[in-house]
Amino acid sequence: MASVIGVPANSSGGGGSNVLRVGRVFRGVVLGAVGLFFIVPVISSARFSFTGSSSGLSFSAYSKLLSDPQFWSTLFLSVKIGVGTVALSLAILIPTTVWVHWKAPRIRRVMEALSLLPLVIPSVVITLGVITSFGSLPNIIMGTPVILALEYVVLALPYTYRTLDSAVQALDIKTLVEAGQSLGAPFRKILWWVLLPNLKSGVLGVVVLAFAFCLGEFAVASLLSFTTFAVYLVQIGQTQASEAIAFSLIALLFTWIPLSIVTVVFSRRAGKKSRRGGGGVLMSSQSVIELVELAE
Amino acid sequence: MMEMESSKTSVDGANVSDAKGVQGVSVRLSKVSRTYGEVRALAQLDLAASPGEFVVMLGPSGCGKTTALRALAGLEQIDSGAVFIGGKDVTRLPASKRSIGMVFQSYSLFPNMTSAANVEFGLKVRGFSAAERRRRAHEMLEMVGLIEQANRYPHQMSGGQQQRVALARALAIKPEVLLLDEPLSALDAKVRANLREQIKQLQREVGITTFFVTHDQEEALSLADRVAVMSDGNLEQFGTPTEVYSSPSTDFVANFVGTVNVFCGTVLDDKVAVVPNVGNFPYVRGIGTPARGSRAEILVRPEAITVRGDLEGEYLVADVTFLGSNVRIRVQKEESTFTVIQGSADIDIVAPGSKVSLDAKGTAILVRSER
Repeated sequence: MASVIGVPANSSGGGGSNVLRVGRVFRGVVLGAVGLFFIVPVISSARFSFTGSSSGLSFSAYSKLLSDPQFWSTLFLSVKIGVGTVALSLAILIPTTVWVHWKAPRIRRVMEALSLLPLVIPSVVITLGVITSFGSLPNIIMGTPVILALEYVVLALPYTYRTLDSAVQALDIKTLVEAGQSLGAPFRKILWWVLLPNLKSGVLGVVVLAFAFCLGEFAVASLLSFTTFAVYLVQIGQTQASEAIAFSLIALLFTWIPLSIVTVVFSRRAGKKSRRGGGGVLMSSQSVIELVELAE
Repeated sequence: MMEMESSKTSVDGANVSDAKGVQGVSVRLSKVSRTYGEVRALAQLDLAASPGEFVVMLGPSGCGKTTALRALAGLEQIDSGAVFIGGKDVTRLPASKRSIGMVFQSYSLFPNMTSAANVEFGLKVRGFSAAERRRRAHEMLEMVGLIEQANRYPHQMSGGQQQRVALARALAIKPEVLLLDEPLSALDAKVRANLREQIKQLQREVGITTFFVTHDQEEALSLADRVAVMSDGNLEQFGTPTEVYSSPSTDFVANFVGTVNVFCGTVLDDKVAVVPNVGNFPYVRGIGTPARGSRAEILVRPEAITVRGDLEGEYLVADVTFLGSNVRIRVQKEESTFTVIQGSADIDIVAPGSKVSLDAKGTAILVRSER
């Protein structure tokens, strides 16, 4: 498929243009089917949330929800946990991945395997382990959202570590760091002035994935008795159907809006840079779009 | 991609005025050793360069030349020994504290910065004002002939241009020593030859002590004031290109640098060795030279013999390669093959399959015991 699309128009004969046309049609059909698969449930849910119990258009589910103080407090809690998780993830992962690529490339496979462990071990088991092992920790950690953020850092590792690892791999870290050192720069300046600007797409991926993970995570939060955004959604869903659907749509918007803003901003920056010359930077915008799709 | 490596580079005195402020310093590696597990990369290496000297470290892959350069830069820990720059012991100093400029084999420009910003980087680290940084970057880019590319990003430039910017970046900080780790190996032949000349010219103008690592003997011989030939972590020979080529001190150097013919003959006296039916070859007696009258192997460069058409000759022409002004002739005698290089005017006297004789016309580079 890719090779067919990649054939230059002027070099393809009649057969080539037919193949191109078939390729375009096939792509359109697949994209259309996938689009319908996603959009139909959303439209149906939206329709249901605006109908409510009476006939005709009703905003009652939304007004009730938006005037509910617990809705805002749970949202605020999830955002707080999300910000903490993102900050912790970046603080731990950036130096770690850079160090692994620079000084210990041999342990890359081990790190990859470790980062995948949260997918292999059920989150319930991890949570019970946390409760058993760290139950005696002071209340500033165990009884507060801090423990949830710490656990989310680990649970999001399969997404965050791999995203950053791919971004770091695309750079010749060793040469860049050594070039910086030979010019007299200490490591923190090399990290800030050279590495981070070149890891922008990877860092953005970590932000998006970790934040989306925190907003949607239910099992661990519920087991640790925190009423987060996702937990409150489930609670409402048990008694109030249209409010629960409205809640889901709002949650969807809360994920989509920031992700879309990030995507657009990065696409524009990438576009500007590529207009300045070359398409190399487009790769980063492409990877951001892929990440956003993954997060959604 | 088209390489724009034309004569844009101008190495005039005005442009290098800043870089000229650099005074060459002496550099010494003293009994430096480095091992990786079981592999010995450097074995008690002793190497010293005079101020402003252009030293080329030459050797096959894995001989330790890059390790030695990195040890000098402070990018590689050493197990024992010491590194001196300008008489100061810098062994324990990290790379960022040594006064070195380095150009790497792989393109090492920072991808998020323009050429100018790359050149300014080292100055920014040192706290220079923005105006001073811009001025110096402008001068450096002008010096390497890339002022028009100042606002280009690395991905918008060719490999040769990137390495020239890397050179400007390395020199902008006025380092005491310039280190180049196979900077031309990723470039195509034409750009490589052009950039080689530019590097040599710049080094002469700036007068900075320079270490250049390569495995390309032609590059080494054409650039160096002195060549350090290395093998298995040892320094085999350290001398001028002429010394290394014409008077190799070891078998390894004789075989690694240039092409060599090995004849069986006899040591006539302390100054001359003779190859039957070829002639006498003057030589310089060394430690391993066999005694007078002994059988010996006589190592001779292709330029030190000539081919003569001879129907009764002992040698059979295997092939003839036209090289422009010269012609390379390979001849065989029993199982042995010999190479001769002579003027292409003589091409008519030899044809593949014809019988020829060889005549001595130069000196032997080494006379050693038979193996």
